[in-house]
Amino acid sequence: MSIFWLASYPKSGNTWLRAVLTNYLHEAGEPASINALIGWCAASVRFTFDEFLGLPSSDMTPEEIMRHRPLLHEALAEAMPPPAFVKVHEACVHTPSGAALFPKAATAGVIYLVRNPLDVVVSYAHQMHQTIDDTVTFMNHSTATLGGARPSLSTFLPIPLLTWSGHVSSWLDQGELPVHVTRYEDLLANPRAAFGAIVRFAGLDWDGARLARAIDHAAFPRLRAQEEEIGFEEKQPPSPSFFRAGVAGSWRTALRPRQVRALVDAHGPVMERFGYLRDAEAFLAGEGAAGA
Amino acid sequence: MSRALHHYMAYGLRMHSPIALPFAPSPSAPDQEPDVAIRVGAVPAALPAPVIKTRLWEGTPGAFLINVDGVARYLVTEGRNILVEPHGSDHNVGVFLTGSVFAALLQQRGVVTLHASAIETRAGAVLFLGSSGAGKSSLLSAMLKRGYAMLADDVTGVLLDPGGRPTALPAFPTVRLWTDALDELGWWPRTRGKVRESIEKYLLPMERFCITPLAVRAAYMLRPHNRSGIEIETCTLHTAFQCLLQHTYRKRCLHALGQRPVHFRAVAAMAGQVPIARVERPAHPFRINALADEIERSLRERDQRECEAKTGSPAAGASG
Repeated sequence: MSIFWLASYPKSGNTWLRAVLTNYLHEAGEPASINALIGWCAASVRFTFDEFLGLPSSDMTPEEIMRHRPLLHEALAEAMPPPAFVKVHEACVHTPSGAALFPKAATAGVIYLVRNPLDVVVSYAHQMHQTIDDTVTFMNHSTATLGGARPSLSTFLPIPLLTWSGHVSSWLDQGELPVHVTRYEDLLANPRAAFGAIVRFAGLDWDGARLARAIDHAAFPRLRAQEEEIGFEEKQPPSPSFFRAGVAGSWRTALRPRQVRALVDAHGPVMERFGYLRDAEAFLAGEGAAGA
Repeated sequence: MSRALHHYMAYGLRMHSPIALPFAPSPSAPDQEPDVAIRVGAVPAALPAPVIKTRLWEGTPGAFLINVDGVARYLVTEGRNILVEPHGSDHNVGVFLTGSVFAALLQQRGVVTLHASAIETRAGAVLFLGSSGAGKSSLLSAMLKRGYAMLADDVTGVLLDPGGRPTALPAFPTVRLWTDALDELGWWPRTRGKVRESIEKYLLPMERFCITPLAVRAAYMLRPHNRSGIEIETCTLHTAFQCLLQHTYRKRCLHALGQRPVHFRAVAAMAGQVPIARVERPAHPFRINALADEIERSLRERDQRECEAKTGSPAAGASG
């Protein structure tokens, strides 16, 4: 079989999407547990790499690990029963030997989520427990990598992210894999249409009533309440909570003009492509006028 | 061209190898026939009828073949022979030989391969089970620093002794430590080079190494969590069994080699006889010394309970 990659830059709605898909597939009367979501990041952890490939990732160089990852993705695709969903934050890059990190043979399709980078930075800074400025620098860094940076104690393989816009372009402009792209803001504004299109793209049986219930069961306040009650096992420390605000536009009060400017300068064309640029420029013009 | 043979002892097996392996050679005179012969030669492209065939490795009862790109191809047969076709430096050939390749050899011999580090305590071997990155080596380092002798670093081999008791085998007398553990231990002067040229992990021969098989006294399964406290909870028989299966090193290889029934029996015996506890520790900050304290406290409590059960009166019991 082959895999539907649930791909996104971090903090772009991936877990919310997984919660909706889980509730859609599990026809239970009550919401599914947030600690049993489908689409776990099986391709990004050292355990699956070691077990499937028979090689010890902890004795391998980042280049060697990267070179072998397409094989892991193919092995996972063969092993997973349909419908196979796997969350990935990796950019859609090539290995040092020139192979596609996400091979066509292992791929049924790509469900890509994109979110306004001005909101991503606010949410990401919160999760990483670091300043907005450091997070802006990270999102603008062309070789940004998650995990595997510390020399020990990471259950994750190194995850190549690229810059925020590099990430978006790597998935949307690769031309090999079928991609369905959705804006986080559209999931919020019109969940039935946006999630519905994803359900159809993934080839799942269509049932409007089931989708409405799944969206309700995965509503943000419910996810947050579950996290408060039982904890979310996938939350990466040191952030205090995973499900935080779940809204669009909080950047307007959280960011300073120079931070907005730094992201616009680095990602302007991709922001424009998804309709994020106009608001950012209006904000900057307004701030400029207010400051004048 | 013939090469001089190096002699080693690991997992209770005498072996000789034309390639130097990344751990301390055997001090004893090599006058006996080795249990394992490592040879250099051409490795076949494939096995005749593999039970499992992946892109990198394939296996069938009695034979395991793996290709490590740019390093070597290895063929392991009958739990006695390792044939190596080197494509890279001897050092790298040795590093991968002591990982998956040696694990396959142990599995062929019916040894339970657990993803665990292990130490010697007065009451027997204590295992720290965990997936890659769970903190097995860091906890091992902390325990070594407290004076315990090492039994195994990454893969602990367990055999049932003639009386059916699970016994841990001494693995390689060398530990592989990352820079943060070396900083913590202050053991930089004792390192003997890097595991690989380009990763920050070092080889360190262990003088305090237990050379005899040891009855398994307890096992702790390590799991990072995102809460703040350290929690130790004793497993039920069922969970203990699941936990040992889950932390079996190279499960798919075991299946290919036809050793699953043997493994199931040994693991069931171990779950029935050895107290196994789940240890959840904060992923961040790690608090390694607090964790080592908790483990020692838990071991002391066990000793005390067992002592009381035997003698019917409270007594002081200590580990280490």
